[in-house]
Amino acid sequence: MRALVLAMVLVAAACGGFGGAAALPARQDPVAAALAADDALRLALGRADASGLDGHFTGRALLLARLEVAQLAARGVRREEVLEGRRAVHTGGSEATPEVVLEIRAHQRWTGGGAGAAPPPFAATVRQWSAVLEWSGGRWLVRNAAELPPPQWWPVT
Amino acid sequence: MRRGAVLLGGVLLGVTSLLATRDVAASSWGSSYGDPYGFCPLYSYLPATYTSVVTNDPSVPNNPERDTFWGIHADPGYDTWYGFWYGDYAGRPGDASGWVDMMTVPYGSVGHWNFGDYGWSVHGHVKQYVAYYNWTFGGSCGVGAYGSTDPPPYMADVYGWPVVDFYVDSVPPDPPAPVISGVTPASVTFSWAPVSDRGDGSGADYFAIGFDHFLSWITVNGGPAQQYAATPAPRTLTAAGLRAGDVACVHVLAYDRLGNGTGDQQACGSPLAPPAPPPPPPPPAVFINPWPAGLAGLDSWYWLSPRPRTLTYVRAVGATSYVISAAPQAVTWSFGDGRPVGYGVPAGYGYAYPAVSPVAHSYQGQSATGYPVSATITYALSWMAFAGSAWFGPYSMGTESVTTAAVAYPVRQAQPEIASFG
Repeated sequence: MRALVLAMVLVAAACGGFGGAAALPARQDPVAAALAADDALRLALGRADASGLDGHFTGRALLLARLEVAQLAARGVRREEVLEGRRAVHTGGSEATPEVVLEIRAHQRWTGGGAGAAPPPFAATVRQWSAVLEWSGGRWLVRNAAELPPPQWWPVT
Repeated sequence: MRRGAVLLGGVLLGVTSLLATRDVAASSWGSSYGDPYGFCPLYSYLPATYTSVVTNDPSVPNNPERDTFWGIHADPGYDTWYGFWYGDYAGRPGDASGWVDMMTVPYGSVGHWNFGDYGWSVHGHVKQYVAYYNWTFGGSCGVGAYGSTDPPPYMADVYGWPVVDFYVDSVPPDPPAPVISGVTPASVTFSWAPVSDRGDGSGADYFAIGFDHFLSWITVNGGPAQQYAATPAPRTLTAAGLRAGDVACVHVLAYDRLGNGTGDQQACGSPLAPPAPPPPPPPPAVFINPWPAGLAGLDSWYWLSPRPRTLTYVRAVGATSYVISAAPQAVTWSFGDGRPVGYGVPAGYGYAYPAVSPVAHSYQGQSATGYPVSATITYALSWMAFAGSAWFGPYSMGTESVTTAAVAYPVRQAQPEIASFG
């Protein structure tokens, strides 16, 4: 049954389903799903628009991501992030709920929200984003996500 | 704005139920600094709204809590915002600001603040708490709003990031020190050792993001960059095809993971120019036994004295020291009655009588005036150079020959005589 669902999902993806979602991650590739989710979150925070999150997040992670985007929208603030590079620095968890930690290098700034103030300059940043995924509806979805503070970072090899 | 507020309200309903089990009794978020006195996370969405920021800019332009100071309470019609900072935010590691009255914002307005507004900059780690003062509903996290001596409640920002850990590393790695690791008459090779990253701040607030990569290339005579590449480790670059007088330079920069880079570290060198050949070694003399005349049909023995040996010359040209060696390689003997005969060394030097010399020759006929006997010693020349901090070479510079003065060697015919009759 699951194979049938997966096949249907693959066909749907091949036919251009799932709106603007990135290429459908394979069952064996939660890293690709985490990367796609990171893209979706970056886009949502940049546009203060959470509509693209549903295909990548679920449960607690989806609600918290919506909260963050809604807070930005309420204040007219956006987080602009220009991606420079990403890599998976850790994969773990269980087969059912794999964990992927991405290290993301970017330049970012927060715009809007001020009383007509000019946008601040971009600042270089490095962050590690932990995503725990689950297989749902024929795809990997991020169930829990967290920005890791540096003391909790995974070493980069 | 209104659409955003409606959206936010809907989301909050879901999040509030989701976070019903959040640990409001938690005393700290993120780093090891505990919460300041009077900080009240109740009604906020901590820890979901805790975040950390890592950057290389001490002014932290990407501070998310910089345009978040809203006047959100219609009663009393304004909000007073307070901040509390730990760490190296004002040039002193391990500092603590106490609660600082940042601003009072009228209802419906928004205020701005960032570190630079106080003349501050972040080095290493800083932990920031931002709260609005609880004027109207004291007792949420302890009594104190209305004249009590207890700490007043500083209410964690609800619509922003009330607790942020900043990690700033604005210091590049140790500068790499490229050196000349090889040089030939047509090339210069450079390399350098690994370097460590240097962090920012000090003490408990020290933070180093970690080394990332080198950027390196070479130039020849100030020309365009060649072999330009980013590498995670030191590498070896060789400027080849050089001619005398060319100057090759390596350029190396080291970067950490936040893009802090060292200045352009350079080392330059030129290909080695061969030194002038040394003067010819003094020729030895030829000695022969029997002496002063040989006998036709019988071996004569030959040798050189003094015996040739390896000669070493030291020269300095500018900053380069040269060592030139002349090593005997072969001896060619000319006995004056035919084709020269070649010998290796040391056999070709012969041995002084009465030792048996490997250089032997017998004449077939007499010569009253003497056969001209001479020897030609061939030296192999090589050179080494000390440049920078190492020796390079040896490199061949051909051969050099020295011929002895010719010795006239008379040879007599032996006459048989009857000594006695038996």
